[in-house]
Amino acid sequence: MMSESDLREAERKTYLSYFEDGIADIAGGLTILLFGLGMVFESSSLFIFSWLPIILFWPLKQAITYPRMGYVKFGPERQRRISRSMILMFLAGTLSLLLGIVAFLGFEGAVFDLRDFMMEYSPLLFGTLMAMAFALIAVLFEVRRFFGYAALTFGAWLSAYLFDIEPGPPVALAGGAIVLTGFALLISFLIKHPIPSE
Amino acid sequence: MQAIDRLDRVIHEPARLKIMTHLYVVKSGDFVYLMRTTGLTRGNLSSHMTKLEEVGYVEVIKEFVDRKPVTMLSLTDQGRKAFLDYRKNMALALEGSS
Repeated sequence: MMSESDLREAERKTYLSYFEDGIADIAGGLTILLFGLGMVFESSSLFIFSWLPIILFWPLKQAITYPRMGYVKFGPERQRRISRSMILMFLAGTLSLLLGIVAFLGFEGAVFDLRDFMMEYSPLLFGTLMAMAFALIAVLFEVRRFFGYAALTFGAWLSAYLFDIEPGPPVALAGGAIVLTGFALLISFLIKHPIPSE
Repeated sequence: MQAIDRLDRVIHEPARLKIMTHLYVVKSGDFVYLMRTTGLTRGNLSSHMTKLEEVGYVEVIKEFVDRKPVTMLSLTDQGRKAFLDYRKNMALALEGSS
């Protein structure tokens, strides 16, 4: 007979099954890949387009995941958790943007020049921000493999800082590795979950 | 033995028990979700859903998700209570037999 903890585990498994498709991995990985390639080719359009994969996340979910997994509305506890996660992600994004604006404008007459500081340590700052975004997804949405992506992206930026090399290639490589993982998950998902026949 | 007698026969059927369990852990889900999680065919699922709807354990809600009509299935309050009672009686029955 199913105990209360078994039922909670069943709910958790149902929730996590919607992340087996690898779409979040592909979207996140493509963003990092395009960002890295933007640095390699010094292309502003690649920087701008690096956000495009995130916009494609929901349409891809609608086209690929829901026809195979079905639509589910989770209970109030899970809904609250998802809403809290969304708010936290939005706040983290806004804070990062503010940090970027402050760094760009600089503080005149400040004790130390924040802009210079951020330029000096930019690989570590970018690495921390990207790693935090992945780690936040891992914690808030309970998708543990995103901790690995956090370590991978931070490692890419850290290597650029330590070996004093251009960060573009290692960051693009990290993004590429995440995209490949996402595609592997997607293929496995498509094989495991065909669209049910009528 | 009294606990066994109190077991709800509508829920006791394995396919319906699966449906009740998978609907209990979420607020609502569509046919594809239930077909996937229970392993039942659409026809089989449909006949069991009719039975559960007849006794008032499940309700069918028609709604639009991204402008597409979706039939969502959900346990009623009565259905949730019946499932909890079933679990309690089954636990008592198993305790009594050990």
